Amino acid sequence: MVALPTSLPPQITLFADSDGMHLHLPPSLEWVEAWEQVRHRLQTSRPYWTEGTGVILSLANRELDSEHLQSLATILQHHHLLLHTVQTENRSTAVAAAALGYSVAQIPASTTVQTLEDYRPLVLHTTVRSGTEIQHAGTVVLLGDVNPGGGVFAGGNILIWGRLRGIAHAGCQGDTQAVIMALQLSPTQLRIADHVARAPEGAPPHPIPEVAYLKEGAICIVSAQDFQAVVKTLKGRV
Amino acid sequence: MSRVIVVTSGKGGVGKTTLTANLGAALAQLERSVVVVDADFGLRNLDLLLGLENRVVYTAADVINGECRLEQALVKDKRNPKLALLPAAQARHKLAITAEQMRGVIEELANRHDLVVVDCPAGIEQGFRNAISGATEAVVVTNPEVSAARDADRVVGLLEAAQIRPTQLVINRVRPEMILTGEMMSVEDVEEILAIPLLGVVPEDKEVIVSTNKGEPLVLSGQSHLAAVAIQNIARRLTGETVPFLELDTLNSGFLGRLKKFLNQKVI
Repeated sequence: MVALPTSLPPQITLFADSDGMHLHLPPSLEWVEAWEQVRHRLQTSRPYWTEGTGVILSLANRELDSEHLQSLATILQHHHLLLHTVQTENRSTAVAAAALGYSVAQIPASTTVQTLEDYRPLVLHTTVRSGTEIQHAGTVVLLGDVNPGGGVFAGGNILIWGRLRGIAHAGCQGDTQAVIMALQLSPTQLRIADHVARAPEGAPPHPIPEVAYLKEGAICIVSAQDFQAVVKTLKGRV
Repeated sequence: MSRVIVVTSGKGGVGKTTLTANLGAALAQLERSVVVVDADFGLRNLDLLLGLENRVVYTAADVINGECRLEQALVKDKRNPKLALLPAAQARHKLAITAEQMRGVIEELANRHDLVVVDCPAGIEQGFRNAISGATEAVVVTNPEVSAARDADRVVGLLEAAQIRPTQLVINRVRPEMILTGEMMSVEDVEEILAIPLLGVVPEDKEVIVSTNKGEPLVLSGQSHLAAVAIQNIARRLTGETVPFLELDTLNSGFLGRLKKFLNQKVI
């Protein structure tokens, strides 16, 4: 059995609740990487927020200077979001945020870490091109293709409304019940939990939607139509 | 500011420089004032293809280092008065120049010409970042090959991240007879993967090699080679005209090919 990485690198979180939008930058993430992730997330999320929705930025103990705060505010504004509050434990970040005129909430780490929010499904509208990897602790829903050389790594299920030609790794933190669905399943490689499978040689002439799941230690593929029957035989296992 | 089009591919040898030279010449034929910029520092070729090698005095690196004015470095093409070339430095290393410096030069050129066409080096490192730094739009060149398409896909992703729009596709060195026999990726296969608008399809043509060696862009040869017509069509599409795509398979393989295509369409 191939040893697969079972933990995901830290990811930014963007989600909505009754207070508006929340953007969380985990402190362990380098700024350059965090910035790339914010940019990518905003670019690939079809706006489900109304224009001018307020954003609460939570930074835990990350230190951010006013220049970085300003660039975050600018990119949010570009996507019609309005940064208004910065949650931080870091003193100099709080000072920088206050100087820029944002409300500052200095709250301890325990309340700013949104572990549950990390598992919300991630919905993306994009083509995952060669060299791009989508990583998320929960389920990933992708409206678009995964091209060869690209990959989706999810702690939960992977649903691709498009062609899967790259790598998909569902349940990458060990969930053996995770499944991978795609309108066209012709991957470079499929992985579920710590199992790996290659796609059969030669593409089918008429691709149909298919589902990959784990059964007795092997990755199986079934047409989406027949998947319900499989679910029954597996007795609610999936 | 006028349009700055970067011609890029990721993979080397797909025909970036050849396309840039011919596209520059074709755009100049359409009465646009065009500068082609060789951004491939250390491996300059564009001057060879345009037959201007012996007239290069200063290069882009000299302009950036303040050793000459921009007009002094520009090489005007005598056959094509609307076309000028900004040569790359041959001796210097790609890292000697930053993206900001490159953007400065390109912006200055864009203020004085209708179109700036930048020939990007292969790869996705500093040279690539320099070449795209001043671009307002991109043309991604690829061949109907798995490796070229894969690299083009990576480049399209990088261009998207750099917010360079639009990014359009040129599929170069297409051999219709090989597509018909299923030995080569078809135009549709490549389009399906890259999912960006198709700007043109250029067939493989041995005349391209001849014209490269002569230092005379194929579009200026006065003869209507299929590859030249395809590139002229690309130039016209870039200027906003609607030009139908060449029917490469029927042009090249005659009646038999057409019959085969017809049958294939019916069967599949």
